[in-house]
Amino acid sequence: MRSKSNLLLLLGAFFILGFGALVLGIPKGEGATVKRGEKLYMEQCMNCHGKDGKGLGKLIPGLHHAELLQKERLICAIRYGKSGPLEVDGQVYNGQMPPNFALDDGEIRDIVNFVYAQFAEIPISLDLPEVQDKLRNCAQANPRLQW
Amino acid sequence: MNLSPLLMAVLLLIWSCGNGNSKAQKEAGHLPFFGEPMLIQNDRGIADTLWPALPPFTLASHTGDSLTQLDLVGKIRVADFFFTSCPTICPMMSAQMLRIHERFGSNKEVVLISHSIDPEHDSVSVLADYAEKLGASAPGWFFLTGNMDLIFSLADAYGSFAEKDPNAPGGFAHSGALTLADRQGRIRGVYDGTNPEEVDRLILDMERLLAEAPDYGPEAVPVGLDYAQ
Repeated sequence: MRSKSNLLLLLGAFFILGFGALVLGIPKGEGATVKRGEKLYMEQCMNCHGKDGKGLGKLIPGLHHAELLQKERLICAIRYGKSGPLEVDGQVYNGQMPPNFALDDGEIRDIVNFVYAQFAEIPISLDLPEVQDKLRNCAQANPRLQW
Repeated sequence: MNLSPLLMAVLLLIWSCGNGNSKAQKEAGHLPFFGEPMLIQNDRGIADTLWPALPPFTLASHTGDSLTQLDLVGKIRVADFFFTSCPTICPMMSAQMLRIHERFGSNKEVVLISHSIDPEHDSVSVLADYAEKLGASAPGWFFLTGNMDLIFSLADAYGSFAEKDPNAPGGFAHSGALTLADRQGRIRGVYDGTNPEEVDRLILDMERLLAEAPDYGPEAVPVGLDYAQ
């Protein structure tokens, strides 16, 4: 009798916690990084690339293009910005993307995970060491970036 | 027993007819006029109400010609203040202006005007390149440049705001407002150009303004400097 009531109590606790998480929208596991990335994307990237990631005419490229969805390219552009001509899908873009040194490595990982989850056909899940590795690569390849 | 719903229906019909014919109800379909009315009295003390309209201007357009208020006679306009290298809200404003352009681009009674607040950088050729890449075309949409101080004052006249600010991203602080003015140059609405839902409302208000009689409301008088250069 006692073990039955304990089981009921346990089930009730699971139900309440699960329901609570659902109501509060607390994501778990990989979903958490994408969820954080979505919030950061809306704050930092949406102004130019749009809520739907489609960019703006021939001024700002959309993020669904495979040429842009290369991990290192994306990670480095978020941290260090981008200037000069950029050819995407036959179209040359010549705008300037500002650098963003206020975002830490983890936040960049979250944004990239969201961008892939939202705009790429094949979502990926980056971990922190991979992001840091790519950031080191692009900084070494172009020391001018480290201002 | 059966009479009461019938009675209700008749009463409702009488009530709705009465309301539909009231002056207030008709007025409710119109957009408000922004600004303060000007009461003018003649020597016999008879007052007339005039309404302030946007000031005259002459600015260089991305087409290579100049644009003046005379080019906007009989047209409703939507104006914004931006700069091409703006790293913050301008792309959102341009995306929303593009929505409006796609909706009304072929309507000869609608003109969009985007004023650069960074005329030192945004020359006619820079603006022409920006317009082409954005997908904007005259005569539905003009990009304007000229004297910076005059453009700042013009922003003020449009109920918007722009100023140089070395601490602001890109070097300028400015509002994301889109201003709607009627055929007589009277401001009839100011909307947040970074909010798609506000721009949905602007598009509906533009339809209302297009349906309005051109001579509706108090007589308009341009107020402010002549921004011709």
